[in-house]
Amino acid sequence: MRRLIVLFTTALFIVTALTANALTRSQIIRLLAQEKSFNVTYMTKAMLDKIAASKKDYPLAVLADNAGVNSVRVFEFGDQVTVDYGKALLNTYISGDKEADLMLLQQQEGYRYVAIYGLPAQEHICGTVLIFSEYYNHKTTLIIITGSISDDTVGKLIEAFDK
Amino acid sequence: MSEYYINKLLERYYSGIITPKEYQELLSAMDSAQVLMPDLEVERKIFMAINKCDISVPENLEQRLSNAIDRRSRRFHNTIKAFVASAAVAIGIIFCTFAGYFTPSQPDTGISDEELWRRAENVDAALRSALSGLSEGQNAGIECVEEIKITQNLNI
Repeated sequence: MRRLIVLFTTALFIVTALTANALTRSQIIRLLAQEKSFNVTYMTKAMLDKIAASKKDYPLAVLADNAGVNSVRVFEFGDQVTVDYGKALLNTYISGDKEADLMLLQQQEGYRYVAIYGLPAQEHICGTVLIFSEYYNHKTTLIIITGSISDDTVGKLIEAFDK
Repeated sequence: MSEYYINKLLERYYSGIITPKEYQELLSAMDSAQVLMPDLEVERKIFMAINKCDISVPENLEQRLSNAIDRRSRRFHNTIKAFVASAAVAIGIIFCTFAGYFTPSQPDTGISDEELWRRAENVDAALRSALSGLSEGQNAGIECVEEIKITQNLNI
């Protein structure tokens, strides 16, 4: 009897998760964690600072020290299922309470799609910056940068990697 | 005693070769003489002033002198000790500065350097994939939308 109740609750949860229009962030992460083609890399401020201290000219160094970045997370989606979850995850950020600023969008159908969103914390400062990228022959990625990130830092980041 | 002999004794006194017996004779002659030649009278006044005044030796003078000498010597040793200690501290600071002990320590990340660099390369690759060629894309005339309206259920 107890087993039946557990099975029923799990099934109800999965059905709710699959059919609900708006999955919560934690639900999406939980679903992603079960997928083999999903990968996440997490870097803290201390890690970024150490990288910058070791190699001052490393491109990631733009996010270290006084850049105002607390963390960087990179979600990599290896198949269509995880890409859909990734898009849903992005949606939970940009359709939240704070109106997202679209800072950059570049798209060529079937080839490349890059969007950079900023969730403002105060004037010219974003609490979260999201970079969503779909690129032919590359994994789809969602990069989430948190902290107190100025427009200037975002500009420097694009400059450092736009080569 | 004749003035000649008094002069002789005075010479021996000022030269420091007078014997105790001669000294007593001189003292007695100077004290008892009634009339002397003017220059000898002056000598008598000086001699009597020096030899008749009572010099009082303060109590425990010897101990006090000994203590003063000890204090001076201790102060000198303390000065030497302070100098040596300061020099040691200065040398220590110079050594530590050149040995890099005062350089700011690297932040503690909680992971190994190998893992740190693995993550850094992952993030670097992801950012490069996402951001490289953005300016080229713009120049090549890839369709660009400068601003879109964010709606609740954005369909990307």
